[in-house]
Amino acid sequence: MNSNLKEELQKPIVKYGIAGAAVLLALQHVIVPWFEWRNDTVDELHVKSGMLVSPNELEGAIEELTVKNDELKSELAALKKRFPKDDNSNVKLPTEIRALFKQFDVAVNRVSITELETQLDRLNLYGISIEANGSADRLFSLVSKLENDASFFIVDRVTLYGRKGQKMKVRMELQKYVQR
Amino acid sequence: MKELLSKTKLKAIDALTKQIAFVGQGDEKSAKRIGVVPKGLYLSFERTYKVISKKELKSIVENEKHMRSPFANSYVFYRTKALNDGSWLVKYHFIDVDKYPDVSDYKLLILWDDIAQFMLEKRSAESLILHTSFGRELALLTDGSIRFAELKAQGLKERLLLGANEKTHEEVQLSDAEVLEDISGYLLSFQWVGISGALNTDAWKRKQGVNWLNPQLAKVLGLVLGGAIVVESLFLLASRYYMDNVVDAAAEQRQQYSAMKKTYLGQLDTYTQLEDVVIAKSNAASIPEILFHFDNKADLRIDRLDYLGGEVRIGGLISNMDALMAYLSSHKNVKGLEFMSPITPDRSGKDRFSIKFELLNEQ
Repeated sequence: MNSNLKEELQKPIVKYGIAGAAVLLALQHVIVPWFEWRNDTVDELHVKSGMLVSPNELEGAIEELTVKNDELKSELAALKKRFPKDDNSNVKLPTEIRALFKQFDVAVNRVSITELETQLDRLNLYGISIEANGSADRLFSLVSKLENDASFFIVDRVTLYGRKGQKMKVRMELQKYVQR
Repeated sequence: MKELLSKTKLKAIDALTKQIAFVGQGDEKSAKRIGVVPKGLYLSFERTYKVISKKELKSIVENEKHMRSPFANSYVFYRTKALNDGSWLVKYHFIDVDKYPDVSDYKLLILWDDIAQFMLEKRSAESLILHTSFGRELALLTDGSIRFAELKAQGLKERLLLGANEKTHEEVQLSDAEVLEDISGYLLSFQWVGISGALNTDAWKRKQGVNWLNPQLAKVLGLVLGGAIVVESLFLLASRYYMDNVVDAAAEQRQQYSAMKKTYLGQLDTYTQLEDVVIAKSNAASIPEILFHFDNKADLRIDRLDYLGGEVRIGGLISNMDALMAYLSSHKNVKGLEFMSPITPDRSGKDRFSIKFELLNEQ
């Protein structure tokens, strides 16, 4: 029985058939899975190699970032003062405008406020439409105050018209950014 | 330097020695590449030709190789030598390929004649009695050509040669290793370059097939492949272990850094947005400043002034329009100055104008 089996196994077709089957099995269960594992491991190592930073370097980077963060924080605090918090602005702004215009002897006939769309995600934008009367000098002093005050307005449109000696009529469209 | 050259030569000799085999000595196909054709395996003869050119000589020799071959199937060597009278001496050597088929397997073939001549020249001898594994033979160098005589032979030629010279011959006993060393020395002297047939072009052209079904080869390839897989796997596992350790060791610091970086970038974004708004703010307040510096007032009267997001439009009366235009054109914060309508005379005698320009925000 054993000798018959040995003889059968010695036949080239059986021998090479077994060898071919062994190669196929090795490919399916060893070589191909190994290549997949290898590629996954190499990708993982690539990712991890980007995280290979020595503790000293990391400590230095943290210190540097702390300093930069503090500097930015103080500069941002100063800048934020120019942008008030949006605390009921659509109610408060008309009052604020009337009071400011009054300081410059400019009589406000009409003031309206609308919230405008903006792409800035940290700011809200309001549009203020004003009709008023006043002398040209006072009006431009007012414009200067509006533009250069710490909490500034953006003057989008101004139209001044009138006769000499008479008070000028003014239509003004302002924009005001406030923090969300 | 000499020592280095000497070492290199020794290494070359060693490498060459491993590639040398003797033609007709084994039945199996030899894996070696250099074949030495022992004396007795080839027939030689010489002929002299009077020809005009070497090209003509070559065509004659090629013809002679076929016409004068003593065997049905010959491997031919020949060497040409220019004689003083303008003729050419050609020495042919023929090997019977049917009898010694292994001659076709070697890529380089050298004749025992040439090796023996090299041995004599190396020892600065005119004649030597050589004791090698081929037997004891007398090698004589006459007129630059080698001649042999077997000492045991009783032919008239040999007896004449021996009778004239035997007493003066130096005897040299050479082991197989020494013979191989002399053959390597001959190869390194490149004297074989001038012999046609030394390089077996057919053997060079013949492709060396690899028997992939050879179990030994399959085993070696399997081992190499397995070894490569194991080595690379170990390397990758070790790298991963090392990286995991290093990354884990600094995990806390890295998290701290990430959180700080996130905060920083958030603040930077806010700062950039606010800063952009401040930089782009309007400059309408500079309009009266520009007009105030217009020295030649020219009775300027402004009836209407519009400021539209950076563009200024002015309508009014003036007595000297040219002066106003010249002033505005030269102002650094005024750009794109132009009339919006033609200048028209007013009842007051002044010009009624309407102009526009872009207001820049340069300090």
